[in-house]
Amino acid sequence: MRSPLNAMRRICALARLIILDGLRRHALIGLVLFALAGATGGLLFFDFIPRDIGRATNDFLFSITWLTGFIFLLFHAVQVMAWDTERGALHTFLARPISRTEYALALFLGLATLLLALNIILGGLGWGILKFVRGSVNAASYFQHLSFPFFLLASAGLYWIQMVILAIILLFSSAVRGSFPVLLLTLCYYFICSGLPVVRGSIKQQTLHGAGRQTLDTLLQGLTAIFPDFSWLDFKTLVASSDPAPVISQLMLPFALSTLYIVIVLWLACAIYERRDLQ
Amino acid sequence: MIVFEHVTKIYSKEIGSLASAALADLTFTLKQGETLGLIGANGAGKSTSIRLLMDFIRPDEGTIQLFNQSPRNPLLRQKIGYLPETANFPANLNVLDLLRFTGSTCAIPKKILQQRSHELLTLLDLWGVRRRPLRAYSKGMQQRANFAIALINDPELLILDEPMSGLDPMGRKKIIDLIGQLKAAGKTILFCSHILEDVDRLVDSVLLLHKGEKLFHGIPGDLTAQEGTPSMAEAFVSRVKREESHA
Amino acid sequence: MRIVRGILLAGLIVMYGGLCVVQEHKALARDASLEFALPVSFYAIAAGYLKQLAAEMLFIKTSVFLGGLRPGTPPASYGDALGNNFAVMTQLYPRFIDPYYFCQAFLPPISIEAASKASVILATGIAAYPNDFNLRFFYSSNFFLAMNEPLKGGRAFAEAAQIPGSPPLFAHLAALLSAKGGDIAAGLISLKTMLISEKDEKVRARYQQEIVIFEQAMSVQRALNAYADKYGLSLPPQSLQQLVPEFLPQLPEIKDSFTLVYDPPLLRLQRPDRTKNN
Repeated sequence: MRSPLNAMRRICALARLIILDGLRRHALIGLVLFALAGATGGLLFFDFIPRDIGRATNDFLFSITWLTGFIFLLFHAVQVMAWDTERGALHTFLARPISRTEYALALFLGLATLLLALNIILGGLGWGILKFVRGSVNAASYFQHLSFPFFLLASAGLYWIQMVILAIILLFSSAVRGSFPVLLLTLCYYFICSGLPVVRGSIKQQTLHGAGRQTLDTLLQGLTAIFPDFSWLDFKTLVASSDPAPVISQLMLPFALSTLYIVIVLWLACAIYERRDLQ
Repeated sequence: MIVFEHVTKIYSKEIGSLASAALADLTFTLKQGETLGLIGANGAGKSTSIRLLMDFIRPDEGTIQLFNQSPRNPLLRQKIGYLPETANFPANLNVLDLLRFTGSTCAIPKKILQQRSHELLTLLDLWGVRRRPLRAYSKGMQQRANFAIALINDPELLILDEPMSGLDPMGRKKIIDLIGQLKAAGKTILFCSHILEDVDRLVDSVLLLHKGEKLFHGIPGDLTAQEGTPSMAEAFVSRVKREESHA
Repeated sequence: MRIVRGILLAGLIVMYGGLCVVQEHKALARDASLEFALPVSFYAIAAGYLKQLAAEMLFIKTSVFLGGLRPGTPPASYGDALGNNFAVMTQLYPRFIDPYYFCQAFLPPISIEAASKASVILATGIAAYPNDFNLRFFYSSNFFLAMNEPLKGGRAFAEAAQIPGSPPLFAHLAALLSAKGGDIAAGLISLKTMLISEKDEKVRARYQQEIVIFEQAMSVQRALNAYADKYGLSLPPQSLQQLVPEFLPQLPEIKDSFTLVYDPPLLRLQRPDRTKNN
């Protein structure tokens, strides 16, 4: 009975519950409507950009998708994963013949599926808006480039970033009790990931000018392994511009690295769940 | 079926308080087909014992055997029906979703699952509201829904934590009758309740805990005889007072 | 009691409305101002994935400010903030092209300092778009139009002229600005190089004319060099006439819309001055 297939079945059963609960939440519907309103409202925003309309439109639409996903992660995902006495259904699920590892993986799978659905809806809408805007301006002057393969690539990159953050939320939820601390930790994690490349850039400049901070630079390099630089997965500027396209290795490396990162973080989260008291 | 051997559980201390032993060197056995009543004041260690059985927490010392295995094996819970004192559900699910989930994890064939769901929900007067979200249920309805979820997999062992909590007299009667039926069907039941009359009526043996220690384990009649009281409730109070005065 | 509460609530709402009106009047009366943007690193950290959007929103804020300027507002009052905002948005998002055009349109005319700031900003754009001739033109022309540094402008145009596909205008401007800046030799070399590669006979004829003029000017430059060799660099001649006849038989007659300007110790060959900065 402990075969991988049965384990998959149990994981999918719980993931299905997570998905159902998410789909039935009015808050999620509200999130989609918020994104729709934002994306449609962006049509006014584009009026302020005289030349680089394609680029600005594209950046705005991906930003809306990112923001919506981030709100989903910080509020819905954290709530679902947290063990608050009032809200947590942890014991309800673990009273069934499902191991803690399967529980953790099911949470991740269920929420990842909801996030994917959200991204697909908003991505489809975004693409439609891009086509519409391109059709309504002099494309030759203001919106020369629009690439569907790069749009898919950028969407995949965005989704992978969200998966990394989702895995981190699961890790924090396994170690820390309560949704608010998990939310705070996740925000700190995100800001460290955003800030570390800025700090590294600054230190690097000083090192180049002979200020000699090699040790610090090495330390920051190590920290980047823990707090990844999300800009490696940010391909959105390729969609509607003539920005130089990355080579295959430049594409595969960040995806491979972040996938491994997700697997390691999930492993750690499952290990913590397996070991600690759940009270 | 259940064996606790010298089990000790100490909860880590938090800021401003000392570490406390929730269970101290507890040993008892529950055989197949028996009904055991777990009684004690608040903080006696009843919930801790149940959490240890359900593998929500792990003992610091001693061993626990459940169906001759460690409770860490999650597949053992296919044979267990657990009714928590307060269950939390994801807000937008209904009882059918959770029954379906239980069916999937316990590998219950779909047809049998549908049949049993219908039977249980009808028995517990929930068939008409089966599609309503659980958050819209009253406390009594939630308790009955919990019961349905606990029984859907036809478990060998039932762990009932305050099964009468939140029920009106009619609901209580129904549950008592149901527990009686399950007992007659040969189920092993671990039953935890503050309503000692119900415990007295239903159980074969009683385990009295106080501040993590075992004060009494045996048949209810022996407890009343030992304390020289007419009812088990009075015997319980007397035994606990005696323990307090010695302390 | 209910009536009293109702009156109180109505009074509160009226008071609030009144204060709103007062505040709106003050806002209208207040001169529009542009705030300095926060440091780039702040936006990069706070915005993260949204940093491009942050740059675009800064641009919109700036362009709305520029669109709403009251006539007569002294540019010096907002020049620093404007330069700061353009600098931040271009560092945040170097490949966003619009700020560079707006920067070129609004910053250099304010002051030499503002033009210098614009140069730095345009350099960011050139690093992002090395083959964009518009940006290179803006960058190079700022030196002589706004900062009175024709030599730097000439060098910038010379660099731009090296890019395959660059318009011939760049090389020509490089030559003219070098000469204006006092490096007539560099200008002459540029012209001769352009002559070799030019196919159009009319343009070739014009280049040949200009080469003749440049060579005349070079003869004066060589005379100045000889004077410096004899009397030292610290004692340049007060006028070109002092070179005759010892170092130069006679001063050449420069025609065809060029003038030789002696600005001790620099000798410049330039077009007649039409810009206010010269």
